[in-house]
Amino acid sequence: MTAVAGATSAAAAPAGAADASLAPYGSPSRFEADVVRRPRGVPTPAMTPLGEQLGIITPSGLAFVRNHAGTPSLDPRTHRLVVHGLVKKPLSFSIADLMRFPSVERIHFLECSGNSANGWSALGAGVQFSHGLLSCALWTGVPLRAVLDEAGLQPDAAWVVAEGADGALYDRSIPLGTTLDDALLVYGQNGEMLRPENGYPLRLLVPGFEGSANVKWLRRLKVTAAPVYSREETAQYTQPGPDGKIRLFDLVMEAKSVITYPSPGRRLDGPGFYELRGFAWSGRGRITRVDVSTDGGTTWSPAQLDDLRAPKALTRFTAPLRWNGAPVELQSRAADDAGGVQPTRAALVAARGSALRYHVNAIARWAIDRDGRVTNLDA
Amino acid sequence: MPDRRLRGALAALALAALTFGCARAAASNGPYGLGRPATTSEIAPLDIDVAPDGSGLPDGRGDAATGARVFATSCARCHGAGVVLSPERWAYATTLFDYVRRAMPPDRVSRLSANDLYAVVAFELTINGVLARDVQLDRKTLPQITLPGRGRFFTGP
Repeated sequence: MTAVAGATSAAAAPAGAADASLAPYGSPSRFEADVVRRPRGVPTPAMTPLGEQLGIITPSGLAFVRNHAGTPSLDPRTHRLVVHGLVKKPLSFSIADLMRFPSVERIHFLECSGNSANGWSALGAGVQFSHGLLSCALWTGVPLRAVLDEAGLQPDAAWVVAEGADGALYDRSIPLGTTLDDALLVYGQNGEMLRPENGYPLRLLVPGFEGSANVKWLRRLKVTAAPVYSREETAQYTQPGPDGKIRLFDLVMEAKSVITYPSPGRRLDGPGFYELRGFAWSGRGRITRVDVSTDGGTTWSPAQLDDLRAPKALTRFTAPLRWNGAPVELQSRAADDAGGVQPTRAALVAARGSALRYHVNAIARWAIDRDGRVTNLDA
Repeated sequence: MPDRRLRGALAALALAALTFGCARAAASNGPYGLGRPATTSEIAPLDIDVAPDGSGLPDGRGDAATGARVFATSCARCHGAGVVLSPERWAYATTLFDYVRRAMPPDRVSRLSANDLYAVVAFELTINGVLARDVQLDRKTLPQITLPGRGRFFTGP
């Protein structure tokens, strides 16, 4: 093996030499060192490098992070979950107790309600900043219903207030009802315990709900008849509509998609064949269709959906792109099995006003110029 | 023959549906006898939620003048002279009490007393133009405050 000029000796090291890849807990190739959460050096929010994500599962170390009072260090041997309020029998669980319940695993996305909001593009050109408050994981845990049933719901139980053990004792009110069909208390993320920054050792996961409702470092569930109207569900994570009114508990993330390849910040390597790739997701259910346009939304054709299409999970789509070197404008439009269709930005602005801050599921518009440079037309 | 095969297939399908139905119903086939009873004394210190009707508010009282002193000691290091709140974005004054109690100051060692909390909330509501300077806040008076944004909030479609 001949060392390439500029390569370090490690790159040319013969097999059998000290090998960092054999570390007890491995890490990505050093040639992938740029694939990291950004912005770097800022505690939160740290965004998923979506442009480099190859499949629907976001590696745990790349999953976006938005914290409200830092990451607590919780010992699973002493951490407990207390369930009380409108229950017949208030209970306290250790993590070991919760791991003894019948368990399930599910693939679900998490999207911060502020994903794709106006202003993030100031951080950079890439899809990491326009759409990177998004991740998807294989979650392992116990159905919320099983834990609440263990305590026994009283007849007037209608909400559960979930509280974390972070510095802000962050809390959110979650409506019961259909939430109980698929809400989980999760301890596993992608086959291992949750990462500290993503809620270790226990978090709430309400599939399809805005990310901030999925309370991390869960320490308490209080069953109530009404919401508690915490700061983070009234003064924060809400947005006045064009009439000035503020809708509370607008929690479900609607149908959305984004083309991750090609995506802004990249440059195509000349005319020829490319595979257009992206992700679609909906908090309402399963993705049924993604259409793509290469002429700015004038004509559309169906993209190929991968077979792996879990409800409330990222679904990968692809389409052939034969680029002839002329400027094109790429768009993708998702539809879900609840009848939801991703709107244009103009339609969203008409419905909700121009200050798009939360639940922004508008169709993204990427331009490719004659030099192959990809830019975000809404940045 | 094709009929019999079809009948067999349908029977298998029906059985599968039944089994699947049972499997779903069994998803919460407890109780499992897991966890231990949570005692009242264990829950009480954790149960800090304050609802809009004032339930959960502690005994105690405070006014803006006292709150100004508490703020200078415990809050000014990060928040300067006072926090500009945009009261039109808050639905309930109880939420402010709840938030300050659960989240401020961020170092857990110096949590505020109930009297200090009422005082700081009074101070904040006063400097943000919501509360008269001489009002004492307590578990009765705090829930009676109507913030200017109250009418903007709604739930449902």
